[in-house]
Amino acid sequence: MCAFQTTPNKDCIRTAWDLPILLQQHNSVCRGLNYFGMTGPEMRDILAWRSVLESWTSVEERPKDPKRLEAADRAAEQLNVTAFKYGLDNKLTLLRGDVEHIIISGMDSFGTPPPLSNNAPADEMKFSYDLHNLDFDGGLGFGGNKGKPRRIVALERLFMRQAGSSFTLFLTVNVRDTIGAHVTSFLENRAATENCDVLRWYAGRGDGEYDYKLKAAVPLFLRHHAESNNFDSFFYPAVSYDGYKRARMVHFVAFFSATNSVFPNASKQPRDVWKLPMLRCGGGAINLSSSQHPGGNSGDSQRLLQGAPKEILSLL
Amino acid sequence: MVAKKQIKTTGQHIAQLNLSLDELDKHPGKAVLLAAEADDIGAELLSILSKGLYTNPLDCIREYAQNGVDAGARSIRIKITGNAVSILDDGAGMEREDMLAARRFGLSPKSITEHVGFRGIGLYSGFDICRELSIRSSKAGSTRVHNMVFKFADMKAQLDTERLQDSSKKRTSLVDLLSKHTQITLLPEEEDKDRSYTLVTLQDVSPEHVALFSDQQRMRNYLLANLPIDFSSTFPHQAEISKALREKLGVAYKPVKVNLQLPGRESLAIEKYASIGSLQAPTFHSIYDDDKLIAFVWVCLNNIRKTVDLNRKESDPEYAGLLFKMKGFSIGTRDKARTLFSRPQIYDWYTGEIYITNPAVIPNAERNDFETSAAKRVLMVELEELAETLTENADKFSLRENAKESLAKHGAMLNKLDSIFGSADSPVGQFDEAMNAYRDLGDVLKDLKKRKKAIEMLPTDQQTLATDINLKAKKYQVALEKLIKEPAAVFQNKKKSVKKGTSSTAAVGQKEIHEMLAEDAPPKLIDVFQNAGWTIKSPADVIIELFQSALDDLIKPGSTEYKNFINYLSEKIADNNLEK
Repeated sequence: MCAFQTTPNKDCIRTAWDLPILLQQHNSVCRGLNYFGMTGPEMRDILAWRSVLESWTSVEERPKDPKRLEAADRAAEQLNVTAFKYGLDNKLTLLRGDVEHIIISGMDSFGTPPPLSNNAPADEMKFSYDLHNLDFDGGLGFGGNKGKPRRIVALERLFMRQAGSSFTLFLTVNVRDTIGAHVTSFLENRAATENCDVLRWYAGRGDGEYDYKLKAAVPLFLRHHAESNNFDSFFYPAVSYDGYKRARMVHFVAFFSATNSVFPNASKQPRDVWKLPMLRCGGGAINLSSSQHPGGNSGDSQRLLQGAPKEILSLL
Repeated sequence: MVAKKQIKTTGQHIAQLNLSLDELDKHPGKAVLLAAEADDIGAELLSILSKGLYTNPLDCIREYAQNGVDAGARSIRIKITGNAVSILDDGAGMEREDMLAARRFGLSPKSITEHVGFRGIGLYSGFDICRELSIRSSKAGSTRVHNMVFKFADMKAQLDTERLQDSSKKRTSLVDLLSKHTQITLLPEEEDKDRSYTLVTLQDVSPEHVALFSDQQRMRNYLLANLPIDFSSTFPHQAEISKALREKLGVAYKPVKVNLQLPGRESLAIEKYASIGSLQAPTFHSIYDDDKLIAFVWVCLNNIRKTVDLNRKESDPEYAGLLFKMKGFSIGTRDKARTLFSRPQIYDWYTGEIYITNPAVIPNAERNDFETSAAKRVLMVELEELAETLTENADKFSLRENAKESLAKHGAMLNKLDSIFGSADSPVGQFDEAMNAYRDLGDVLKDLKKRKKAIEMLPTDQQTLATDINLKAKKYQVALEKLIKEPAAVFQNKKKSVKKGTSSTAAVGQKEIHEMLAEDAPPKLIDVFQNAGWTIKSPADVIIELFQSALDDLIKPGSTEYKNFINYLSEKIADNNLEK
């Protein structure tokens, strides 16, 4: 039995939210997009986005624990079968290992680098994917005394790897993590710096509303690292939904456009991306979440999402 | 739970054995049957057979691909990911009963007449190289998917432990080993019940073997040499050969499309004869024993009269020679058929395949030869005859092509004489040029005479060209001889170049003329043989030397008799080449 299980909410996001964004990117570059990420054994993402994709590099974990390894091996085998069944295997490259490890080190558990990399030594290796789909089976990080969580490090490293190559990031995280205090502290600091009540509102969310904190914090974190690596960033509203076994998930989408700037770049999208609305996917549809930050209005969406696909704007 | 057959305990087994031995004691001299039990077959057999039969780790890929072909697969995908090797085919797939039958050791549900594999051990060919073997399959008409896993590492660990233990301790039987470390799972249903496939995955292949599997060149060349891979669409003769094979072999000809993907690389389609050129159109040969077709052969001769692999790069597959095939799978290498040819250098001019259709010709377990049998002997005799025919055809082709090249060369030479002397009717020119041309014309006429039989095999227009060249060369020869003998012309030129004269100048000139007009010294005997394409090795060279010496003693070299003998011998050798 594979670890990842799709749900109707995930399926809805895949087709109603993600696909129009990818279609716009596909039309902009006039070619198929190259995918890197966690397709899962059933490759539902690839099947849903096949019309805009050119190739897919799929990552399946390779745990050390023998029982988990056996399950992971069966999942990898299922992935091969799925690819064969749907005629996807010619364009499929399978890497084994943790996706965070692959991004950080530049290679999988067997030393195989992603095919769309420049094969340079790890410190200099660059990727040139158009789409990174990081569907972490778990939270954004598990902190403690062991330093920065690997997923956070991986996200930071991703911008270094992709330097010079524009890409879309789909990031899906579970609200269960142990870095909540760090997230809150980060938001409070930004609220103070920006003197922003909206950010204070997000920082002050209580139990059961951690998804809101992530909604505000993650784009700020990503934008900081994107701009440091000369990317212009464009964020879409976050979408929260109930996933497998009713786990609360938050789905982030951003497009990072590589620039030639020699200094850290300032994105064209207005700075106050925290004013984007929170969306909720449920019952097969994506709508505005019932709870929004104070003062939120449709004007913010219009202002912040200039250039977004009309299918996205129509949902807001 | 799968129902198990009743297995006797050790006690019951010994009791039965004792009964038999009692009979033996009671009736000395009478043969008594001895029953065997599962415990009589040790687990070491698995290790012995897999290591002994599959010395090349790549052979396991062949074995699993073979199963796919037997299941009617049209395509096979081989993928290396990290240290896992997967072989996926689109054959008929297996239901539960099929998987259980396939797992049996040394017992195959397949038939030697219909299938490639029939010994029931191929499944275990990966035993020595991976941690576990996983087989996942879905059969057309069923939505059930099963996954069978053989935990080879655990089996090996158990065997290793037992090897070190005290000899008094009981060793595991093969049955027990397989029972303990093989499992089967029913997976979630397949949505499309018309879909069929089998995926074989070798998990955790040992590092040295992974390096071998990840070598694209070696993998590609191994697959090309061993699997029934389809022809490349770029091979000029693929349509004709494929059609002939399908017509002659019917369902026994099952080419497959093979894709290979190595870590981090795009998938590569493996195709046969993709980069080979300059071959003549194929010829087809059916080999019969009485009225039964026992083999079908296609061959192509290289157009350039050298080995087919002349321009082959190190990384390219080898195509020189013929490859034995049974149901599309190779038996041995292309060197195997070389011994059928009496002249090995001709063998490499050919490429082709020998499809064995006689089921009585059985490949050995290693698939590098055939088991000794009367059927094999009959086949080899017939193939030797074919090899003679092919050698003769190659020789004729060679003679014809050599003749064509000579005609072209001689024609060009005569054209050059036209530009020097004006025409063959009344040439005008310098003494030295005339002398050189006269000598060359002698060579041309000799060459045309030597190649007479070969020229007769050429098309009409080439024969006409040969006649024209012959006539023109003779005309030139006569005219130049006259020019050379004409004193005014000769000495006109010589006076200009010779110092203030002595009468010896005239004598020198005449002596020169005489020597030049005299026919050239005839070739030595050994030259005659070598010019005809023979390779002279010891002690033949000594024998020929002796003949030369005797000939020189009996007949004056340069004399007419000597020259006639040499010409006659040359013709005899040319005839012999043709007849052979």
